[in-house]
Amino acid sequence: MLFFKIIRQADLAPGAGIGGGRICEAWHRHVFAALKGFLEWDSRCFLRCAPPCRRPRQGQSSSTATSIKLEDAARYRSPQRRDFRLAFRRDFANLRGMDTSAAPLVSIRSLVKRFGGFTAVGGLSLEIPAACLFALLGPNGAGKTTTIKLLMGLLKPTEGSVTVCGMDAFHDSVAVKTRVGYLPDEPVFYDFMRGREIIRFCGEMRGLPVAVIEARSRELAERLQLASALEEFAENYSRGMKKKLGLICAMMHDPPLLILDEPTNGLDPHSTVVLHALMKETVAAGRTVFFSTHLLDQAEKLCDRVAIVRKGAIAAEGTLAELRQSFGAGRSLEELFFDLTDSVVA
Amino acid sequence: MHRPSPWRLLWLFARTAVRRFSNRFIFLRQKKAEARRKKLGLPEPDRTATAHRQQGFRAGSILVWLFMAYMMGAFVMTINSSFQSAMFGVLAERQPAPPAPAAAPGQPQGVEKPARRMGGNALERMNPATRRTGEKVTGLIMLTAGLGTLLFAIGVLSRHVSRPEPSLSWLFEFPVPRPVLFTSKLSECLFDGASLPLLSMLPGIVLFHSGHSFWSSAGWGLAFGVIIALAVAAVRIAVEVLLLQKVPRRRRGTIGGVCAAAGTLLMVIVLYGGGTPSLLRVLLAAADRLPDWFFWNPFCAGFGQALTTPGAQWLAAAAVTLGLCAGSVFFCARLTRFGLEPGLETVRGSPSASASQAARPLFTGLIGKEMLMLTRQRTVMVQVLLAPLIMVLMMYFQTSGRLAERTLGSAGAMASAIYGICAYMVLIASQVAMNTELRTLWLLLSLPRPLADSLRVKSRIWGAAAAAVAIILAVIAIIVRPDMAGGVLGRLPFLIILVAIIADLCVGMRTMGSSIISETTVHFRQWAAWLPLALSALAGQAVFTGDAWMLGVQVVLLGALNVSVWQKLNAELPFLTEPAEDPPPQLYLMHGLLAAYGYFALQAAAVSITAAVRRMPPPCLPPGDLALCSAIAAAVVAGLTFLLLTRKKVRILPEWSAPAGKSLALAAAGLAAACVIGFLWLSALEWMPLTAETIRHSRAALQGTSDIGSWLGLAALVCLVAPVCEEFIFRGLVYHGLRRTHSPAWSLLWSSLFFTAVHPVQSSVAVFALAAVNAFIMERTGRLTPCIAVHALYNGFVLWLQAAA
Repeated sequence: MLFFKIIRQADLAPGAGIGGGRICEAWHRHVFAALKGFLEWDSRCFLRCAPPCRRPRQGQSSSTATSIKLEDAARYRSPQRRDFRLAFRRDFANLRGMDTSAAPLVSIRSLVKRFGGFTAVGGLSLEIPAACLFALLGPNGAGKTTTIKLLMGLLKPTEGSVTVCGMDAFHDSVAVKTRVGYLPDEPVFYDFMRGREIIRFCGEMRGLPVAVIEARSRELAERLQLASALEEFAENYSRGMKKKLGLICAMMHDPPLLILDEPTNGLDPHSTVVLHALMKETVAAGRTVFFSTHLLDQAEKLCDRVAIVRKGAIAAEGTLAELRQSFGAGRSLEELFFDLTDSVVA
Repeated sequence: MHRPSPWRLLWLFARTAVRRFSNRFIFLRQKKAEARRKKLGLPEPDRTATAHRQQGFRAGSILVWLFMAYMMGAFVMTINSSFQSAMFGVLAERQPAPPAPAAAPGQPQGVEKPARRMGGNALERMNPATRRTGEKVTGLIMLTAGLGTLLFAIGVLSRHVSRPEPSLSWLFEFPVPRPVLFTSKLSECLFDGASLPLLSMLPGIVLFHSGHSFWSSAGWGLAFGVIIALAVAAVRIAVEVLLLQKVPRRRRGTIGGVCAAAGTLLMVIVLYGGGTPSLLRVLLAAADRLPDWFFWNPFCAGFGQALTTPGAQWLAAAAVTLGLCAGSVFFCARLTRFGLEPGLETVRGSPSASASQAARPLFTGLIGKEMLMLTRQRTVMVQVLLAPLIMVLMMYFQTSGRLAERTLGSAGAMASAIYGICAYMVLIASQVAMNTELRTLWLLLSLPRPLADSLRVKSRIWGAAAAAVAIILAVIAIIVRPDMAGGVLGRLPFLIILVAIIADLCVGMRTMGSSIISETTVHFRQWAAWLPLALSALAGQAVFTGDAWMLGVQVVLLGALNVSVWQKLNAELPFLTEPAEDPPPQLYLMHGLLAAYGYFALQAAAVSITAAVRRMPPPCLPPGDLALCSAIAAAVVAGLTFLLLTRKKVRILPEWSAPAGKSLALAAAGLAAACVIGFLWLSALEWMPLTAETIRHSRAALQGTSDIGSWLGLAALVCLVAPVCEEFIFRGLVYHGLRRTHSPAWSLLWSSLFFTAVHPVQSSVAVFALAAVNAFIMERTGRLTPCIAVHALYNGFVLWLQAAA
């Protein structure tokens, strides 16, 4: 059984070169492909296999959650892997399809995050609907990056909950990451890989076939004017080029939710315009883009909904029209921002 | 613009360097900080989980350092004694020693410490000219060792060979004179890692072994260590800055790797060749030709001549060292007068390469990334792949010396040498597991894959590479010595499996022992370096003896440990980037394994204490005493584990349990099955010629104890205490720790194999059957009582069989 699986996967591997009927001439390629299949079988199984769900045994009531949890966990080897496989199976057919449910994509309820005695985020509540361009504004130290890290499952909430696409962000983080593309503030890449190799690595880890990776990355790189630099080692890129590369990696698998931490920080005006156009197109296609920034004029031109954070809590939230209605008509976002944050460092 | 005076700057930098060193003893400073806080009335900070992230030593690390120092000291003393005897032989060829006087003038001192003064006496009895040549040869050996250390430090320890250190590029923006900057770098190199304490401990140990008093050897050792450390640091920063400024980035990694390999080669020559007469003769010839002033360098100064050296030589060595430091500081300053890394070309992909490489890369995904790292970061490749091959060549070109006998003498020795090389490869390779991923952890964490899986790929690659090297070396060994083919081939499958498990284990333990302080710093616990080394040494011993049972036991034990390490990592790695929360307490397989190993350690300790008390060697102790020791050890371990786990509120047994009638029925059925299998196995053992003797012997011993009291005591221990503790540890802890993440079948198999591995070989099949039956009962009923009952009754049945037959 495993043997056939290996051969089948070696067949699907790029560069295997198994032609029909020429086995004797290219036997070394088959051996090599089998070796490659053996070394990589776990990653392929991880992405493609999803074992069926199990029913509870007779004699044990289904309310004894412990036994069922043990069984499921035992089957899937770790809670994260179990969640990923279940989620992947559910969405495998329409991983890039639109999620048109009415439920909000991201729902943050009374989120509190404390580092010892210091409260970074205190009582944050937010709902991000689907197909929305959402901006998170706030002064330095307001908790924007901490909120984004909590969304990505890098931190565990002290109190409250963060739910992305119906799954808890920390406990089911692996399943969440199939649906999320992330760009950090300062992306750092491996210094031994070229740009196109990094893009290919990210695409392969997401389960995209090579043709799709190449087509999509070529299209994005041409739009962001990075195509000529992809041959260089990523270590030598300027800051803006690193951001662009990170953006390509985040957008390549067309996720329903894009999380960008200060995306235009470091980009020149041309690239900023291109990025804005890209973001608007993504939202028009039904995805959600959630980004944090402190460039108020760009946010004003661009976003549908805005949330202003101050000292770890939401000071105002809603569309621009709603904000103007509540806090005074005819004012720019900058004035609203200064009023709400008291123009004092949070 | 206000410019501080260079003396003030030097003072500031020196203070920073000393603080950087003393930060390692931060747990001592914390008491002082607390006292100061109380005095000033400041509020107490919250104790968060970040306490485990602090970068510094703790009491456990100090113990590990002391153990490491002891091991290195013992190793150095062995090397020194072999060196002394070889040296004496070579020098005696030159000039025969005068006959030793019957009563040496220093006899009272010699009587107190005879063993240690032997080497010194032998050389001192010789002609002064020969002795001087001997000291020169010692100096040359030390020079080679020092050069080896230096090259190793440049290749392995230098942090900014590939890119300038961020703090250096930041400091260059300040109006600080460059010589002051590089002096601070020098002091940082000096205090870096363990260089200073180690380098001062080793010469002190050798001097002490040669017969000098404790305080004088400590003092001279410290002086010598400081001189060597300063010289190494000076040359190291000079070479680092030279590489940074003058060598394109592409080539720096290769040079670093070559330096590391050359350093390893030199160290191997010194350590193993120092006891070889052939090498010593070469060094003698060199010592004759070299002028006297050559030996007044820091590395040769005063070693072995500490108390008889005229002060001038020490002064000269100190002067040379200070000159080296000043020279390297000004050399670095001159090299960087146009700034750091001026205008070296950025590495661009060549257009010709892109066409062929863009077509089809060899491997995809994580394995592709690891292969790119191997092929492009040549430091890693050279260190890991080249150094073991150099060691192989060294061993094969040695015609005399104890190492050749030990490695080539028998099939077992050859197999264990191959195993040693592969295990060394894997140990060194595992060091890069977390360090290369440090700054790009966000990329791995943004992928839809648990971090533990991404890191485990490395062990797969290194295991495959080590297995390939093992196969190649085995083929070479069989070609060179065809008479040992059988032994080597017989051990080869176990060797490959062991190496693969150890690769996994090393990467896992290294990851477990790392805690990320910041994006560029990781604090590494020392036990994670020494524990895999000790475990692989134990497995190497099994490879040497070639006993199939021992090899199987090692495979099972190391495999179980590996499974436990990765189970814990799978559960705890999501908390890696979370500084304020700890993973929730759960039952892991590791708790069960630690309990089992603790039981064996305690039992061994109890047996040796009993043997010392009764003044009998352990095999001759009466079985009642042995049983008592085991019982006490088991009770202590089981009780301690139970208390600890209950205090942490960890649930061991599942919450549901089957009804009593079903448990009883299952227990009865299980007992019947186990007793039947036990009876069959015992009969089979009696039939088989190999084991019939042992069975008869144990039966005679049992029937010989006619005393009812001791019989009852033995029966009680075997049937009451042992089952309870064993069932608690193996079925309660080990089985449920496995069951948390594995299916019932695998948990049953692994826990039964582990149980069999820790019992003697004669009872293997019966013990496996008992363990499997008990695991099955535990799975179906969720209670410990039926398992204890089955075990107790089974033990009683076997005892009755043995006694009544």
